[in-house]
Amino acid sequence: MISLVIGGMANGAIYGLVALGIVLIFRTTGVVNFAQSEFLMAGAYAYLLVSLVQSNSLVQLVIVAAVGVALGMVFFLVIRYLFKQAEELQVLIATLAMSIILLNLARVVFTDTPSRVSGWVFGDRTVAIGSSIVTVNSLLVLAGGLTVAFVIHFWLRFTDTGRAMRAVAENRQHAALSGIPVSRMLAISWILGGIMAALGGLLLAPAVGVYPNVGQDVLFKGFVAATLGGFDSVFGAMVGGVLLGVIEVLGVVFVGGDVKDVISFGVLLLVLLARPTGLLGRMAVRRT
Amino acid sequence: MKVLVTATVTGLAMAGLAFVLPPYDQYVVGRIAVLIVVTLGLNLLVGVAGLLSLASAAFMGVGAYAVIIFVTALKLPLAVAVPLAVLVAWIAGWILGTVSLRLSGFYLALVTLGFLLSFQVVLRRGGTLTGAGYGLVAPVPDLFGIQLTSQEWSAIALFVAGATAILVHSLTRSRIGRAWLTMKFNETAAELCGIDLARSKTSAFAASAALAALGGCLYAYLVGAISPEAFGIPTTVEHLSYIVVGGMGSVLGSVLGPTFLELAPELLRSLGESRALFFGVTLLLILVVAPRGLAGLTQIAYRWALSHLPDFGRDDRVDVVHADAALRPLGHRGRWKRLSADANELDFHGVRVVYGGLVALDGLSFSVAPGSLHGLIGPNGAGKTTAINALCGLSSVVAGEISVGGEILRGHSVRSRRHNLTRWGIARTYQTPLVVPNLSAVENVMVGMHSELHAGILTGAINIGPVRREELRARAIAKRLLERLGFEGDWSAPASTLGFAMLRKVELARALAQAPRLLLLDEPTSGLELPAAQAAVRLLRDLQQEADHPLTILIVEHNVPLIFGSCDRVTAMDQGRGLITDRPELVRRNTEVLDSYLGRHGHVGNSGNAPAH
Amino acid sequence: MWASRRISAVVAVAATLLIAACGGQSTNQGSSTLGPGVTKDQITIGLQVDLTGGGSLVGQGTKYGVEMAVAEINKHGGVNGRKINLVIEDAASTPDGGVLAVRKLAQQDNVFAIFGGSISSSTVSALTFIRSGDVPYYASIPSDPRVLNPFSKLIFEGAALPQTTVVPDEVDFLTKTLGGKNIALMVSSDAYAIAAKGLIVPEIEKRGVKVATVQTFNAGDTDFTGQIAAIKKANPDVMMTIALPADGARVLVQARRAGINIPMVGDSAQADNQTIRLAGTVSEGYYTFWFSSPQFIDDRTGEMGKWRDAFAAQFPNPPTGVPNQWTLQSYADVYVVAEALKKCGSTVTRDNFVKQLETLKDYVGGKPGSSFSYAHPIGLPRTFTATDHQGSRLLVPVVIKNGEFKAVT
Repeated sequence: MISLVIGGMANGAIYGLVALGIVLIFRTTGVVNFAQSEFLMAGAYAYLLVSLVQSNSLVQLVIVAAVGVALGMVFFLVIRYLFKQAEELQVLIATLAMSIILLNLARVVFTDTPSRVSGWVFGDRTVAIGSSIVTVNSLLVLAGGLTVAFVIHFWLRFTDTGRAMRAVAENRQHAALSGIPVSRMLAISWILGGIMAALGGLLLAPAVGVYPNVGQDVLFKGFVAATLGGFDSVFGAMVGGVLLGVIEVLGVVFVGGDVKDVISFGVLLLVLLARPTGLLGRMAVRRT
Repeated sequence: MKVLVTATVTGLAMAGLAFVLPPYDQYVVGRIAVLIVVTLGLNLLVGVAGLLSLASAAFMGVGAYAVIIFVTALKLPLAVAVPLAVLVAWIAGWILGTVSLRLSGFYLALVTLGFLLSFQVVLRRGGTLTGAGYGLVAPVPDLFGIQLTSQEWSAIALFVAGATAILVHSLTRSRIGRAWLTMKFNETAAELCGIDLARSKTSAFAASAALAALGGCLYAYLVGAISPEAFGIPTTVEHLSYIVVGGMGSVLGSVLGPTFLELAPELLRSLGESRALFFGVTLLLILVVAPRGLAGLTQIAYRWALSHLPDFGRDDRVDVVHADAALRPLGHRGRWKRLSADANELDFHGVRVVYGGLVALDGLSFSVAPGSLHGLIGPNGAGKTTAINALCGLSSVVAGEISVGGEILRGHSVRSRRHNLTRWGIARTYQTPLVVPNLSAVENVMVGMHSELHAGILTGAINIGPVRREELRARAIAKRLLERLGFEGDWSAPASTLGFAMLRKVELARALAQAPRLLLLDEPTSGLELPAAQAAVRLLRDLQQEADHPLTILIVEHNVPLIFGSCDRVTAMDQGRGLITDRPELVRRNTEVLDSYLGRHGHVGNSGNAPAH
Repeated sequence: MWASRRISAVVAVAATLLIAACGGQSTNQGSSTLGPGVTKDQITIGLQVDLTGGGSLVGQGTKYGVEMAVAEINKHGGVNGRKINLVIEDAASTPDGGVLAVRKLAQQDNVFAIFGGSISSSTVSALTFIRSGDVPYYASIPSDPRVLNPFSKLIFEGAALPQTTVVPDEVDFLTKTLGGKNIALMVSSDAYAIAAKGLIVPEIEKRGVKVATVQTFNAGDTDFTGQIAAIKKANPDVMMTIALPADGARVLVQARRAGINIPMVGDSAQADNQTIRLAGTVSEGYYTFWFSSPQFIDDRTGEMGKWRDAFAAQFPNPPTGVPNQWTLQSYADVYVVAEALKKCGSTVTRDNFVKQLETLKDYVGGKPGSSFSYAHPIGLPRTFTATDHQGSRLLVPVVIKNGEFKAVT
């Protein structure tokens, strides 16, 4: 039972990381980033390639984060300069298009064949908790995810830049009038989103392998997690993710493995219809 | 009849392709035809009605699976199975549409995505009925005893695609299409014109699902075998790509999109390894370079044709016949009753509206006499627009009452108020004209008559008989209204090409088209030069005299002298309260009013603008 | 409406473009002794294969196997003086793609026959079209029972063993060799896996053995915490996973890490180096089944060694994971097809081709008695008759020892 819950929570932490990135970017820039899954994929591939030449964990971490930064920056520039005047729907489809491009580029370059990579720092070690056996990597995922959530949460609340970002999220025009460099804040949120997803790739890859579709499965769950936590709460995204992970795992045990996606859908529907603000969020679901 | 004839002719022309092309190309073209049908449906939902759905692949699957199950398991003839499958999808789409009533934008997309994933699971767990992971094999299509060849089926698919394109185009130009476009543009304006948002949304979903299912039926027999993999996320993403690349909201786009995206890789063989990459890159390029898609690009080429070819099926001959239509409304408007002959048209009693911590209306009370031109003035933030919003159901009233024609609007939620506004005979305009840019001036005005017209989805598309006559008459009335208001310019060009002053006229015409008893105008002269503003007010007066029933006008304004110069009575507000309601000369001299505008001991000048507080 | 005329005009333009693009097709309608796709110096054979998508591991492997064999044959002058002209169409691992690929090969590329190198998902949908036409279809790779059922004169199955043949042998291994009494199954959502699931459960129960639990997952899923917990609870003594290598390896790793120590078996699709690579040391002791050739693909001795060298010489830089079992299967099957073509002599028609295929008994290209002495005899024997088009029936259990596949002794 313990391994079940921990396993579910570890999955959930990944959903949470993806959700965190989505929420952060959405809050500040208003863009729903469908390519978050490919940021994760890029992080996973970066980790794979770096670990082939470099065994220093810190270097690995830095390079993976750098890839996240780079991708975030690219997306920021593309959306800011090519889609300045575009409608919301067009920007959404643009991120979808970029997601398709990144995914298929990876397919062409790396093929669909998965590659194996060992856990960051802790390799493939397992540890016994009570009568269950869990991988150290899954504990790392949990710890990592929660840490990131905490850090971002406190950063947003207590640092100047963090507060500036929240101001931009509330009302871009007012923030600009207050002298906040809005463009820079938007760039920062994209970069942070990129880093978080890339880190997610680093943490997820040892458990599932590195292959082009690695982010796709997680994306929908990430969106559901973000909705669960209320789309405006950074902390809520992580909590939502972990919760979803546990619900999912229990669902598999009691209902069946092939209905995993339906479980997420059911949870989503329930939350959206019963409690649109999510569990922790304040922003109401956008209506008319 | 014209629509049906065009539809048939176009369908036959396209079907002819199947007999002209070599075998493999027949199949390719047949497949594109199937995709065109699905895309037409999706474009209606996303491009016209503005509802983002990712479930198109699921509905296509519903059609495909249903038709095969009906034919093989229930032994129904093909000619019955197809309409039945489409009906099943219609209902399923309608049900999914009810979800859209509570959610919008991205959340709606998410839920439709979940529906898609769940549908696949249902298929996989469907045992022998759905063939589970195996899928189902389609028998040879048997239509009225004739076994159809692959070529003939391709021809049928092409015919359906061509005919459907024409019908869908007719639909977008009909009553429901106008309603959808208005709803997409601004739900508030749509609702207050008498458009039932719930029905519009569910019907959009239903129509889209039905078309997707029709495509699915054609697909099942064209390909010969179906399985859950064919109706998953990659397929739905392809559908979205078709409408984006083709052009959202455009029927031509629904034809061009699939044609281009499916043919291009065929012609460029070397892309065989990376079809999906091609899709993604094209999608992005189109979004950046040509946001209106391929249809938008062809519009430049076809603009001249537009002005040179006759306006088919919606002609102007009718003007002569209905020259006297003028302002006479279509339906019977005498439904609302008056409690007594001297009841006020509009009464506010102690109305209180609160936004969060801000008190917007603080016990507002005033009355408007029937048939009068009543001004509502006050400094910025006084609550003038809020008062109108409260009446229209856009803000909730926490205390006090509003009554119309002596009848207190009790027990109505904000939603109910919005829903019934047109029925009560109330119409309004907005601070910024909410005129749908994609519709022409005439069509915008016709939106005002939405609740009086009767065309549905099918009847609107086919456009014959009483529906057609109704449309023509509505059109004539719209034109007369625009003429009366002094509209100048091309009334059949998209409203996005019109200037600000003309937009105001269009919006006013639309409000008048609702044949209201009470007209609420929110700053109708702002942005107009003084002579135009004065002419506008004179026009309102004239309209009141010409109307064959008392037309009461409540006009919110900043141009105080103009109001004083023309209104029967004026209500001055400040900080959410009514200061005084009386004849203009009395209001003008009221010290509280002067204080609210100027601070102490000033007076309102005779120049065109009132100094801001 | 002007727009409706727009639509008609666009359609007309598109039609013209299409007709123009299709002009200049080589119309090889054939004569009484030469079938379509056959000229005096070449025979056009179409290859349907999944180069992209979920089955790309299989597809890439197959493509290289086919190309290797075709290159060898053409280097030695072809078949009866006719070179093999290989036309490849990507089926993209989807049912839709499969139909497109096969139709294109049959109707536009005008091939003589089609070599089926696609996985079940993209093959079965295409067979409806094949059955209604006259193009012979030699399926090398897909194992779905629907390939041979309903029976068609045109459709043959080469290397692949239909699940109906394979499952009883696999179950014998589980129950007799491993002595399982309470068997847990973990099945992916791939078409062939679902087909197998439907067959394996009754087979197990027929032998009086219990099925502890059947857990399912979607192909591509990455987490099996729930399923593994359910399996543990059911307390099985043997566990079998039916999935492609990537999924199977993931299941293996997670199961072992969760403490499942009973013998674990994978279906024959997992008899691939992918499994060893992805599962690492955890794969030690994992059983699976091999039907591609007498020796294992890692075996560098004997004929396999020679074949590996020849492959490396021809393709110094193959994609990751190639060559694999499907390379072996398709390589061998190309020679089967070539043998039948050779036996056609001067009457290279489709009917004769089918007839000649049906005469093959225990055929292996490169073995004494075959017409292609230069071929590497790394295939298993193929036998066809007029009523039985299933070429192969041999299944060998193997186990992973020291990072390599070895026969179970």
